[in-house]
Amino acid sequence: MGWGRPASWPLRLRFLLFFALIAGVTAAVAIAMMVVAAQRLAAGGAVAPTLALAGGVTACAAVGVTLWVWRQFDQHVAGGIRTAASVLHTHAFCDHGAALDPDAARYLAGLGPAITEATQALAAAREDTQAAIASASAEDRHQLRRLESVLQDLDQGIVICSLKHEILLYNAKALQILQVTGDCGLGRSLLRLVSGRPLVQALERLEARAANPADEAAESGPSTLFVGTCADGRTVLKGRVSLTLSVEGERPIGYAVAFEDVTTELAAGVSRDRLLHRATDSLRRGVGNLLAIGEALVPDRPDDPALAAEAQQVFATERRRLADDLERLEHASSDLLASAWPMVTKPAPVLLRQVARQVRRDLALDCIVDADPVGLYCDPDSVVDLIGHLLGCLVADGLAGTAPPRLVAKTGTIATGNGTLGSVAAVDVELGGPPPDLATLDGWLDQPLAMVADGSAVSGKDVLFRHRTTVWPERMNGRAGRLRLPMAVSSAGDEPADGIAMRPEFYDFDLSAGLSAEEIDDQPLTSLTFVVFDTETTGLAPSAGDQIVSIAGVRLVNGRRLRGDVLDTLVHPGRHIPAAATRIHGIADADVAAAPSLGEALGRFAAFVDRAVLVAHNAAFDMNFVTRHPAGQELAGRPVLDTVLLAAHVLGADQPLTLDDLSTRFSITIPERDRHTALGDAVATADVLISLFPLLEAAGVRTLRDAVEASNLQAALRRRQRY
Amino acid sequence: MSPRPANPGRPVGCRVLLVDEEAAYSYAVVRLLERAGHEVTTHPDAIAAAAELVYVPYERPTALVLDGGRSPADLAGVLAVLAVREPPRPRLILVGSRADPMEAAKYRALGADAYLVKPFLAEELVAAIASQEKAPAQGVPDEAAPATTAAAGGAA
Repeated sequence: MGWGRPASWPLRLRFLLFFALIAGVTAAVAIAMMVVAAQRLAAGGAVAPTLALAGGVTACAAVGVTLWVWRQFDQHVAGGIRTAASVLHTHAFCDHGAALDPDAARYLAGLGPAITEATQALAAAREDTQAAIASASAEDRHQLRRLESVLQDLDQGIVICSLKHEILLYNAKALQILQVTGDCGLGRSLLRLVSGRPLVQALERLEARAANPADEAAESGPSTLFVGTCADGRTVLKGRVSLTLSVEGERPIGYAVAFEDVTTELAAGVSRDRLLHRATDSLRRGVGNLLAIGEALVPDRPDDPALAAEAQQVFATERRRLADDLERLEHASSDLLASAWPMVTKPAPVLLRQVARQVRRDLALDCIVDADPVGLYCDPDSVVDLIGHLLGCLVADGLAGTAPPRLVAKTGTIATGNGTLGSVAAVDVELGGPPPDLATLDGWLDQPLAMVADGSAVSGKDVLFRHRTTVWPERMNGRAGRLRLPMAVSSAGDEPADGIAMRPEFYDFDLSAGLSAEEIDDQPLTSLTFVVFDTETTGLAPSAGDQIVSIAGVRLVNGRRLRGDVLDTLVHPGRHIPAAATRIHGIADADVAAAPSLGEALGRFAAFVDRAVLVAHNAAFDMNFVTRHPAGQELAGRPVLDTVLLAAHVLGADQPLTLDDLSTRFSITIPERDRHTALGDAVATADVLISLFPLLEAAGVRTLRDAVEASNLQAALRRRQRY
Repeated sequence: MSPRPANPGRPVGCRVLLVDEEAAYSYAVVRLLERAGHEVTTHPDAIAAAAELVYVPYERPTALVLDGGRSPADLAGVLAVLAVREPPRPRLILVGSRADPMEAAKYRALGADAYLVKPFLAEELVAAIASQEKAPAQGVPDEAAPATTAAAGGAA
């Protein structure tokens, strides 16, 4: 700091000097003028002009010097403050404001550099935020592009829609199947392209399931079968519909349809059905005729009973063999048909209500539905079409009567030679009038149904063959008749493909496949795949024979817990579970009676873990149980993270570190019934780990190597404290 | 039941009405049934059989053997005639080519007393004709007792 340049003097000194200047100049002029006035009075000058001169000069000097000081302040201080304010204002609202001109704030001491620093810091923070946003959205775009490229390569049509059926995403195959030229138009309604009824019904089923997951009687699972047609009715679609859930996994926000064109497949199926049916029919007749003719041709020789007996023997043997072969052929072909057609289990009341709706719409005819709640194993749409078609024919022939028809489904009512047909329900159309005769009914069954596939119409008989059933007219009491259609009752209860647990996270493409252990060591923690697991045991001492009774693991990928990717199994410990242990985890001997053995369960667990990094709360305890068994050996020697040690590293070893404490600290709630279950604790541990990630990062623990080192340090500290 | 030894001089058995359009098959079945002691009349189609049922009331067949799956119109016609004919009505034995229980249930509901799936042995047909088991009639008005001659033929 020199004295040469006023700008570099301290601000307060400069201000003092200005005011000192006013005071000094005014005082000096006043004194000077008083001396001058005194001399002039002494020299005998007139009093009044002398005083006026002295006062005037003094006043002028005072005003002059004050004006000069004001001007200096106005120019350098007020102007500087105004410039600085406008620069700050600009920077507050705009990314690229001009820097403060150093000259403007030259006389404002530290304010200029401070403003420059503030604006620079603000700009840097802005850039960081924008970079973070850019990288996050680049990641999103990247995932979306990958999703799109995967979708484009699929041989199935995929359409993702909002709940209002607006198309959000589609692939090229979907356009091709739906016969849309050009662009199907994002935001357009899918219902313009696909016949609405089956799709809306499938969605209603799924929404009912999502709204009421605990209802055991309801079908469960995230997707359901969908068979429908394009809007023009000429292309038959078959696929699955699944709901897209919100990020919290609570409410549906849209749905995805994966479908394929089965038109030609269906047409081929129809002709193959007919061929198979004719073939077995003709074989049976042919063989029957030949057998009768053969038997008849054996010479009628009452004198040689041995010959007749021998011939009879041959025919009996051959007949049995042929009949068995034919039966096998029929079963094989019916299995073939069942697997080719989209057979599902449909509750009888639902199916018949669907018929009633269709009949009301198409024939303006009201039906009464009275159905047992049994599941019918069928292709619902074709059965609905068949019954609807038969009712249409009845109405057209004036046979429906005046009373509304009743649609009835009852089990155990179809008589055979001995008793009733089990696992078959009679689906009856009860009429007000007399039943049609057999030949009329046969004619109706030869007519094509509404569902037309590629020009080759599906007839009522095709639907009957497909379901391996038949239909006949019967007279009930009095004149009224009914059409009786036996249908197989499903024993399984649900579509097997729907038995999979909810898996809302359906893609994450950034899986670090093909990394060696060393590479994994240097990966950021949040990019690794973890399996967070927990076990429940018969006691605390594996060396004393205590064993695992339950093991559960959840998967964490790219810092997210995958809700659907869960392993949770009870384990048969091969020993009694002490009551003390049962009191903790609620698992008793009876619960594990049918559970897999420890070897089997650990085998499944190892397969579930695959290449993921293991994590547990107080991992040493669980790993001790796991690796003691030969099936858990392959998990020994891999890096295992312990949430106790990691939490100790970032929160301090003196903090309470139980799972409950950490859950409370991170506001993680474990539902009461999930406390001290393997799955509940594994989920809570996973959420604790996710909460620890940012704290670990702040503490410099970024890679798996860092985490293992931090854990080792904490473990060493704890050991030292213990001894 | 084993085939009954033939007794060409005095046929003691049932009167069987056989409807089948295939002559060779009809011939074979006739020979087999005659060998079992039954008296058989054949008709190539159900209209002829129905005509006999209607117009030859003294020729009371005790059993009617018909292919149920070949022509629903024939079956419907025969069922209609049986429904209006005076009792006792003949046993209705339907022959078919579908082995599933739904088909058997259908024919039983329509009023068949027995359903045989091709291929079957002559002895099975003979047993079905001779059996006294009757279906609880649904499509066809219920009849009194079955023909007594059927009992005689089966017991012999």
